[in-house]
Amino acid sequence: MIQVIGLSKTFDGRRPVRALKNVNFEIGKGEVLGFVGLNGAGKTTTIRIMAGVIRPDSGQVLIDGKDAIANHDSVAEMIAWVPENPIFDPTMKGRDFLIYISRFNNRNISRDKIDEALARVGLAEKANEKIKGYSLGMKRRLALAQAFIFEPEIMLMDEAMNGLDPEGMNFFRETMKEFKKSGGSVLLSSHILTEISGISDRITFIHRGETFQTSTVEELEDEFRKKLGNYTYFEVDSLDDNELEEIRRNFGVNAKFDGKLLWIKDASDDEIGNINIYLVKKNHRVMQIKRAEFNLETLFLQKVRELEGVKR
Amino acid sequence: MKKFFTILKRETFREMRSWKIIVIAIVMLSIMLVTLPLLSYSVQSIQPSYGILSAPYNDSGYIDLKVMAIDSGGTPVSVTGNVTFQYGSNGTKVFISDFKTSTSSPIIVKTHIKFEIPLNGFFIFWISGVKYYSEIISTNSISISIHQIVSPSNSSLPGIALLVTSYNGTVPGNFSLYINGTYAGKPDSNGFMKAFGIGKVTFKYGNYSQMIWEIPKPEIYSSLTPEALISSFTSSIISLFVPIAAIIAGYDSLAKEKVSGALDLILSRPVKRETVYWGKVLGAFLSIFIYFVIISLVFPFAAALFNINVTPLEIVSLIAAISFLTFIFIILEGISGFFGKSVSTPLVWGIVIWIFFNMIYSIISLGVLYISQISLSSLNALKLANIIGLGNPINIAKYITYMGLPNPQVLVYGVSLLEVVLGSIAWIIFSVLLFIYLSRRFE
Ligand SMILES: Nc1ncnc2c1ncn2[C@@H]1O[C@H](COP(=O)(O)OP(=O)(O)O)[C@@H](O)[C@H]1O
Ligand SMILES: [Mg+2]
Repeated sequence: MIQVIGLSKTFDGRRPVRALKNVNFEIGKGEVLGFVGLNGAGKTTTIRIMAGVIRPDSGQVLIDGKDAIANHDSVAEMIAWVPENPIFDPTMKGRDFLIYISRFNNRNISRDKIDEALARVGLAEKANEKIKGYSLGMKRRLALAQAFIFEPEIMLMDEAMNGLDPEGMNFFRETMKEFKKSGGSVLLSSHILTEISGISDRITFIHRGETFQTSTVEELEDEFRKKLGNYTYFEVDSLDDNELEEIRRNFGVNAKFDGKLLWIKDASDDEIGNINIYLVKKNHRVMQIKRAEFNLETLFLQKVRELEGVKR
Repeated sequence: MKKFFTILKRETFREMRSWKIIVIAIVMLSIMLVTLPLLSYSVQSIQPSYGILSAPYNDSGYIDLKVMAIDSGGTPVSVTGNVTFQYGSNGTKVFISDFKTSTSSPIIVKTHIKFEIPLNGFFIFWISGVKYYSEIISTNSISISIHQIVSPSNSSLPGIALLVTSYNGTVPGNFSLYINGTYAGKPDSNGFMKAFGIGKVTFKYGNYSQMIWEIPKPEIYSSLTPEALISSFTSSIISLFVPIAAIIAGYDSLAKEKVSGALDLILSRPVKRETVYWGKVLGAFLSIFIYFVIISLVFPFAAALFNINVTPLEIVSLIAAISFLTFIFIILEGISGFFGKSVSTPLVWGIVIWIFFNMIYSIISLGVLYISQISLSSLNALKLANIIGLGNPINIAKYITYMGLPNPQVLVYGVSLLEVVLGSIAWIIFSVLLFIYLSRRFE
């Protein structure tokens, strides 16, 4: 089990950046934790601290209760990191890189395992070419192969799904499922909630360097319904202010018009029908009527807006 | 340890295969070789002069040695020291220890020699622990060579003047040698001292006075010995090229990888970051060391073709200087990897430190020298400038090269071997501590 407790980190410079203020979460064995926040929220910084590449100003990363930062040279063996933008020595060949990095491990790693990892990510044919000639996708696959060779217990995946084609997505999902089954823990960051909601057991949100919520996908769906779920919208050609006021008065509903869509909150089916009749009578063209769908992305943005509101 | 050697091996071979390093090594060696004929010509143009002192022969002779001095203004100043004679099967040795003068300006030294002469054998003349030669030319003659003596106040440093005399037979009573001028030299194959420079030596015995020799001011005055000329030439070349090679190696192996993030995946593995950093620094060091040691070994052979003799001690000091420069500049460049923002920052930094230590620092030193000359004698100002030079690794490397010379004081007046060693150690400790501090301070 991994526990991340109270991480904070400020990057020095002419203008210091407080990248992390207070980051907390846990990942259990066999669990995939989604890690969601806007660009610049602090996901990559958190993951780099967990990987031992940078040090936090304060806070702890515990792996099975052991301080992973202080004991980096032993504990890091259990972790593999797939960076957001993997950078390699461009003059090296892919396979040589894997052989080289495999030596930075306390257990020995055989050449067979390296070739197997290369084949698994589909790089077998390009393995003896210089990384200079790799596309971004190939570099990311090489980073993934690198993570596989160490047979870790924990994988830190930074925006791993970003930019994958459908086939790649599928491969990634299957791989994660398999890894989970074998008891592995995964941290899966993304700035797009829907991208990872399908494979995450729980999701932790981060905003401006602070984690503020961890929920299962089911809990998020409930929350969505409570907050946003009871809207119905009418797509109409036009609507003037008098008409909007009349709808509010006549039907006693909460109504908004954003220029294209007429939003009605908490309307019963009868009320919807009556509003439709009203609109038609007024010679408006009603293109469609729809109940708002469950949309995690909307919920995520709503949360961010709320947090910003609290701040102001 | 295994991880450390993995990095060390890779960095060493990678930098050795770097065409930039190879080009620099080849360019440097070519410049050294192309300049050899010119150097050979300059060395030959330094004309040696001889001076031989003769005096009447007396069977019951002895040499009574006293040392006194008058300063260049003519005022007598005290010179103190102990004279010890040592008899032995190897001959007789005369030791003068704790040689001190009360003046800070260049002085004229009178030697007053009184000694029972063992007619067979030789004696070696010592001043302040510096060995000066004296050899028998024939069974009844003794040549006495006295290096000396421009000595700052209370200093036991040998100066940059040298007197060479050859004395036949013995002297009943006192005689004096007046030395005035600047000399540097070494014994030739006959045991005679060759003197280079300008000056006058006069022999006085009772009322008898004879100018022994006068070396006129050469057309181009130089206090350089041939060795010193070659040494200052090679040290200038390595000061220009070795730091460039070191900066490139430090950039390629550490700074660039650190700033670009190519090091991150390695650092995420179970390895101490110190292991990674030092493996890279020492790997880069080894690659350059190997190339430039080869050059240091090739150069003497090429020089021999032009009748320029490079001694093993000079080669050792050249290698020491190259190692020192390489290490310091790799560390200084490596440091830029910790605060660099883009991959070009460390390159700019590398160029800045190269220009600073190769040019700006010397300009500042010259300024200090110029200002200090107002209140200091020129020799003390020279000494001060050389001491200031200890703050610059480029100068230290030059001093290390000079330390291989028979008389380094010709080039680094006022700086002793101990000071050079301490200066180098201080620089190594300083750069290593700065490296460690900044590697923790930034990441
Ligand atoms: N090395 C760095 N130096 C300075 N600022 C940084 C550095 N790395 C990240 N930041 C800043 O820290 C904040 C968090 O960045 P990051 O962790 O990359 O966010 P995310 O991965 O969630 O997009 C951003 O404001 C970013 O500009
Ligand atoms: Mg990121």
